[in-house]
Amino acid sequence: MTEIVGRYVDVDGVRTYYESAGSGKPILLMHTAGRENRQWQGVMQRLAPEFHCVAPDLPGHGKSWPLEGNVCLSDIESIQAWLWRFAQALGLERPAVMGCSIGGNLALLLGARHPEVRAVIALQGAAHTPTFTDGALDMMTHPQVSLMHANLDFSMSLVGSAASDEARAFSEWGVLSIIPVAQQGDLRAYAHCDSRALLENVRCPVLIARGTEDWLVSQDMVEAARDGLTHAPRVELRALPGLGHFPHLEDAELVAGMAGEFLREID
Amino acid sequence: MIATTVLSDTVGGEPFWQRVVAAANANDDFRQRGAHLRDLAFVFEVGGRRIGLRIERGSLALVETEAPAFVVSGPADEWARLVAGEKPYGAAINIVHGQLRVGGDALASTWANRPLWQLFRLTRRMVASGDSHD
Repeated sequence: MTEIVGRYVDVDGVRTYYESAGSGKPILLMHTAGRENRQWQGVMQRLAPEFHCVAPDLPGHGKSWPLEGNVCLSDIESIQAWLWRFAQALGLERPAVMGCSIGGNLALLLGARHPEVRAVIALQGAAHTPTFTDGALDMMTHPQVSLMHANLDFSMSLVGSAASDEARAFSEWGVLSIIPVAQQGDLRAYAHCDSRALLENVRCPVLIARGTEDWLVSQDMVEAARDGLTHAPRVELRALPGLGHFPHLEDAELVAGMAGEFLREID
Repeated sequence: MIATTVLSDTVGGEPFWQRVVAAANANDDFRQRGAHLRDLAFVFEVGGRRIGLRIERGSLALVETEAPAFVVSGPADEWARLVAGEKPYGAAINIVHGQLRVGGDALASTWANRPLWQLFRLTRRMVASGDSHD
């Protein structure tokens, strides 16, 4: 079993926690809204024999410190810029970027903003996801709302029928251990994300994969993203039957195999 | 699809919701998930029909209410998809994916999330077992 090592690095004055494993061409792995890098451990262990996998916790998530004033980033451009500075701080050269949900949107946006990106893998990734109202987002940090209580059924409804029991249990733990301000910041960024006009700037290979049982990120959304990638040299859209909103967690072996196969063919 | 077509005609009727109330009150998970609520009245607007409900410490009742804390409203077809389990509650009220809208006291409707998710699990079971209409 490949060892996963946790370390800290300073990014814009934020003591930032990340986990890494393996050696080879780097892959930057980005977690879903309000969660943290442990989501990627199953994928990292499988890719580490060939790739240098690096998964940060965004500011205020997991073991990373929040921004000054105990706040989190809450717009998509600020998050992608922060992630890029994180990659630079670690000296990752031409990283592939891979994420899920908001992490998938961020992978596409990083590909559009940074020509150095080697490849994009976007799980449940789209460019326009106005799926939460500001009113609903405001409730997440209301002093009389228990977000772990209010969001549990919603989050678990996004998990696919083929998810392992372990993945289902960890998804539930993700809700039970939620940091409301982190979840709110990410979902505000997600709900206001509209990078459709930027997709034509992506010049690297892109793989978009969608768990077909996810009701939040629809097939139309991922197809629209695919169709906007007019200048990418290679674009693939794959369906992941039986999986939901968290494919990397629900079936790490499948996702790692798919990612490895895709990245092996890219210089 | 057949079930949904049938339900579109019945989901706005009081007999259907009387069965739902009975199922909820017989279900430990519903009672537990609503145990924190005190005198919370709300309305389901199913097409043009109003169904008044109240949860009191995990117990559900049909009521006449003029001042509900919140109202969930939308076309009967979308309600039929929800109660049949073709669409989860979160999707049915989602701004992009659903046709139901939640109006009124957002805090009260947030407090009611867990019992409502459970309520619609029960309606799905009712529909699957054929216990949704006469």
